[in-house]
Amino acid sequence: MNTIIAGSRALSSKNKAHGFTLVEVLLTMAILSMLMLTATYAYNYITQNWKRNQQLYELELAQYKSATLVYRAVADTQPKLVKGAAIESALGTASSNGFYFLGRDNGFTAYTNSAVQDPAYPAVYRLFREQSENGQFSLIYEEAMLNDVLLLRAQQNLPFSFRLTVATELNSLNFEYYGWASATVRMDAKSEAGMQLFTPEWFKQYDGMERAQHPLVVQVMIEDFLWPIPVLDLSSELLNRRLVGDE
Amino acid sequence: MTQQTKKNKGLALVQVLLLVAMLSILLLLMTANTQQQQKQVIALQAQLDQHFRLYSTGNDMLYSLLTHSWNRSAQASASGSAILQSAANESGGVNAWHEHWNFYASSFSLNDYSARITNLNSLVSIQSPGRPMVLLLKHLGYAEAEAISLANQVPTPFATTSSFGPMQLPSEQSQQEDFLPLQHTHELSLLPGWDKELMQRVAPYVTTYSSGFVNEAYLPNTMLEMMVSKSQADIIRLMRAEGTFNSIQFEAVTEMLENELRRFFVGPDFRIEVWHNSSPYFVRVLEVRLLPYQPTAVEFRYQGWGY
Repeated sequence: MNTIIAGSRALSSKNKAHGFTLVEVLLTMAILSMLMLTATYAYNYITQNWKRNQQLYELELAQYKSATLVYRAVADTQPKLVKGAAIESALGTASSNGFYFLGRDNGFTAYTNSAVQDPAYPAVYRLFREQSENGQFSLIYEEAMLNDVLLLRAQQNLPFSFRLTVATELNSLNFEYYGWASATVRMDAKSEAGMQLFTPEWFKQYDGMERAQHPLVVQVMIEDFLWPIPVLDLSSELLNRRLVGDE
Repeated sequence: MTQQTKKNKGLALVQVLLLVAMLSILLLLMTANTQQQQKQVIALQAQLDQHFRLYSTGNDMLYSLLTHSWNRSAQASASGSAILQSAANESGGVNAWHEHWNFYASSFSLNDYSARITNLNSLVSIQSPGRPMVLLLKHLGYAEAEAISLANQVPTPFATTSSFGPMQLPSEQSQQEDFLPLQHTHELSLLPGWDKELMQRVAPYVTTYSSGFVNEAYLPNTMLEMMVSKSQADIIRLMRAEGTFNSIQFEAVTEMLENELRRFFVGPDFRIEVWHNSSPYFVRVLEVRLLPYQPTAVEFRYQGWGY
């Protein structure tokens, strides 16, 4: 009997030394599962957070990209010589030439050498403010790319099929134009004695066809921020070739 | 009892191995994800760095052009002044200013970068094309009649003749009332008879500038035969390759002299292209008018990437 008990004890101690009990395995599994669950939850949280941040970053990047593209297109604004409406006179039908630019206090239309959609093409664009229901303004860019049409006339119908919102929720947004009052004023700016009689001025409205000049600077006032857009002064180069008529 | 122990052992080992495998896979996935994001950031950083370096190299070139007498030998040639000529000789002319720099659209090395400077007044202006446009089209392989027909489609301030005879002075030409100049190279492709393919072939040789004179002395190497004979073009190319070329040499070789419509001054309008030697298709392009010592020393006409 004693021998049997001794043998049983020996077996029991041997079991304890070499194997896991079901409870031990279950406990280990439970602990490891909890650990894994926690790790997975943490990993999911980090991944989702990363993705959320990435989405925000991509959104910011997209906005920055559109703003940069618009900035580039606008910075490449140039005076574009076009024909005005045909005028009938005793001598026949004639049309005056001028520059493709129309500026109002709520926005302007101009010509750029680099379209936002494809910088290899020129385009006509409109940069203007749009008021929302809550009274705030958005700065909108609309573009008609000149990839398959020559811009010849001021009244030409162009498809403004591209639109970007550059900025939103603005309390104030205004536009001003700095340039010569007209081609005549510019030509007479200096007296024969060399006295400066006229200088460029700031205008709330500027019509490139009426004035036969293009603004030298377009200023966008976005709340307290001033965004001046200098324009290459090519008007005189074109004027020198007697291209602007009927002044 | 012994059998149950063995079973327990096996079960535990499998479970531990399974858990370790799952944890390893999870860790591997996390590492791969992190590495991918890291690679994206590094690539973006490298691209930005390249942008900045190209931007700086372009600006360095502008600074050099503004602070060196790049038109000294051209002035000597134009005025015939002994002082200026000797100054040009001492400095070795335009080409010796920077050993490898040139102004005739051949690329040169700037450490890890390459650059190309084109003298815009040597290109054909699409605002007053005339005879040079016919010569360019002929140079590109068009027959005389076809070249004249295509060139006739480009608006010009002066009435053109069907033969496009020797270049006339503006005073001898009648001004066209209806003239509207082309203001973008792309507009060429919209003219009757022209297409995008032809516009792209012509684009490297034309400009929207219209200075009113021609400067054959700084024509790009590939355009030389357009204006001078093949033997003269070969001599000019050889001199350019040796770095001995300047406007005085050009006058001697071609016997062309400056007049109202022809000037051999370098500049002031340049197209500057810069790229890193490892990525030749990523090019920074600047079109500028440089007027040193003037209130506006640099007038940017075009700034962009590629062309």
